[in-house]
Amino acid sequence: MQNTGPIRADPKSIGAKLRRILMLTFKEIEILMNDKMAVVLLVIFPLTIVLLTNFGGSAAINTGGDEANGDMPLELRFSIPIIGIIDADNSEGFGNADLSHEFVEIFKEFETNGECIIKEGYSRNELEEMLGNGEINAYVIVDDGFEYNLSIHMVGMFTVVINSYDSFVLQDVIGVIDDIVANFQDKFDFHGAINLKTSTVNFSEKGQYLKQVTPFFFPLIGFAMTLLIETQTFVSDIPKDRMILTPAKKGEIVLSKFFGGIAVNSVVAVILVFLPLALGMEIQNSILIFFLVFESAVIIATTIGLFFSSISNTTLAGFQYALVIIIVQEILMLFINNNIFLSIFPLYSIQEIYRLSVIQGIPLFSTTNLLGIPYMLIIWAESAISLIFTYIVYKKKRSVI
Amino acid sequence: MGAQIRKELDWFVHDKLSVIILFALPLFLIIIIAAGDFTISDLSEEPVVYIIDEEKSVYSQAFIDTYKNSDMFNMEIHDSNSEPYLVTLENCSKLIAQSKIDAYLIIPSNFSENLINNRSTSLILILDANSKMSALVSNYFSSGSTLFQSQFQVFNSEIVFQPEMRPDEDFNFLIMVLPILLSLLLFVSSNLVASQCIVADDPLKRLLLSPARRGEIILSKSISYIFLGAFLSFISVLILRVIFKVIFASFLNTFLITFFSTIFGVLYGILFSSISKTRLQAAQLSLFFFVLQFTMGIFIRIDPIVNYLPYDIVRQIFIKVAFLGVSLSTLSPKLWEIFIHNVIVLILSVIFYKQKKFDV
Repeated sequence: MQNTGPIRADPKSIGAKLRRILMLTFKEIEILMNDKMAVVLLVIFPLTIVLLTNFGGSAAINTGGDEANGDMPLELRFSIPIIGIIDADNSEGFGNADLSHEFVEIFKEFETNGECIIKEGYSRNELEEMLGNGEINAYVIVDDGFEYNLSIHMVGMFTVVINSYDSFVLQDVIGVIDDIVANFQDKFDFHGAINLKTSTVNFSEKGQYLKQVTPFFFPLIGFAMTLLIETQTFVSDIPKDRMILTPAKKGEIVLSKFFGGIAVNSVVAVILVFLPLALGMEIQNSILIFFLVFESAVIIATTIGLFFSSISNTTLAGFQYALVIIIVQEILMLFINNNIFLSIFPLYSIQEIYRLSVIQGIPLFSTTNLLGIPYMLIIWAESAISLIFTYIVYKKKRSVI
Repeated sequence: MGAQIRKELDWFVHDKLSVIILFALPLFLIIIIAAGDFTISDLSEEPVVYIIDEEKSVYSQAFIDTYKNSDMFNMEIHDSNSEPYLVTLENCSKLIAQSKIDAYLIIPSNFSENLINNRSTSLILILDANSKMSALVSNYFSSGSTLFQSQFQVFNSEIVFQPEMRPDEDFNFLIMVLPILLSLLLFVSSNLVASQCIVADDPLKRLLLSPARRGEIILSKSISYIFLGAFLSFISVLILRVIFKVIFASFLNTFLITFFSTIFGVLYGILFSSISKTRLQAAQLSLFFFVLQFTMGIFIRIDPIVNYLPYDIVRQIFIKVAFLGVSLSTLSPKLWEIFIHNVIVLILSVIFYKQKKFDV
């Protein structure tokens, strides 16, 4: 008897395999989109951080430098330092101006501009006590002979005593005092024997703040949001048992989850690339490279997330793995300064590619660690290894179900 | 309520991964950072700087050598005297525009003439705004100039300050990072664990139908996690004191301040858990808050928001209490602020949790 029904493709053919992967990918996307609030957070999260950085950065306490004159802020300020001041200079010699008094006046001008808080009228012992109690961050004594020494072209000295426990404020105190000295030097034309005139290139009027600070945390957002979602893929898969029994092979399931995850999480990459550009951030490389960097962050986070999802027995465990991976990387990167050690961490590699390739314009594969290995190669190798391990672990899970 | 606290603690103890996150994660990070002196290993990048010497005199070469021969300045220096074909003005302009060098310096042709005649001589330093090391390079050239001037005794109305540190001692790496490390880590680890406590509560329906009131449920969860947080804070401070010999002005007060970090972490975690409908949402909120604090606490610092971030509140008072020995009574206005802050978070948790009845 002749078979008149539709001819079914061989399930082992490449076409059938690809079709199955495609259908499973659509299913994965649908599952991920089901948690509407989670998708909203996925969009809101990077959006908030980008906008906060751009608009908040310009309103930040103080960034040092005179941006109005195109002078780039070289160091970000973290606080408004409280500085005690004593004018102990009784010397004379500079025409009509009382130089130490003028110097103190510049401190007051900086206070008026909100760059520091000045405490006057205290003795040295009182200021020392205030420093010890944390009431002030530093105190300045304009030493006797300040004016005389300057008038004979010698060195006008002053002492700065700083609370060294708070590393943020320590840097800010020195930054403010450097600016005050520069201001004083300009006013009286005291430029010293060697006058270092500094200027910057590659400074962009718009989006400069984004350029300065985004390498530190844009990769974090792309990586972290993706990782968090992907650690749930296997462990929260409701029709897992049914899927295991379908003709789809384990490898096909892993691949479909991989592609599904990339499709959904690329939303973050799109926001992180196009929003800063819309806000005027200038990049030194093509938009394609910019996108590729964040897409690589999404890919590595997807594969690592899939791996940890495959080894997790509960959804809670999946989240916990994700958050541990993110926090361990971020904390170690904050405190450790060893390029080779840090390049093991995908978050660090992404940050370096972003900073060097997108911001500084170095060709993608010329951005290497100190051993000369391109960061991109490290990322891709780690992605491939994670995916292979995911497949191995997932394949072995058969006995559990 | 006592039974509920016992149930929470029992659930926590049986979840090994939660125990690892709450205790092993912060302790592991504290130990790895405290034990490894990573700053000494010095495997970081060096800024690349070109120096164009337009004078080519003994003085200008001595000025270049100040940077080349000193261990103080960790830079890769190329100068036009040694590499005349590489270090040209045209090449420098081209390379810095492409961010291939971090900076270049021009020593003018009248450099030594001005110095000898007690006049001011201007050096031009061009920095790449895209380089993360531009501030470092600028500082290097400022201090290098002072070093050169001291060596050759050339001064012309200089204004110099000598910073004195209080206390005047070389801190190890741990002391410098401890206020940030402890306040951030203890908050994050307790926040992560607590953020799943309501949303992942299996017997939620039963709990909601039980005679216990919503407020009591939130309170019992808060007490149990805060109890665990106290334990974590104590162990962290103890390890720092006993193993790493960190000297605190008062052990008890230092413990109490670090305990504030875990209280903040727990209460914010419970708030996120009561807002969320799924575990993913709770974890996303927890992560979002971590990134927000990290970003605003370290990179942006928008006033006055930064002053209300739990991480920054604790960091600031930690320095005063642990290192400067300021008494808690002196800080009572700040402590009241922390108390009110936490009460508001707790009330918000109860409000959101009460609204959950429609979903069950």
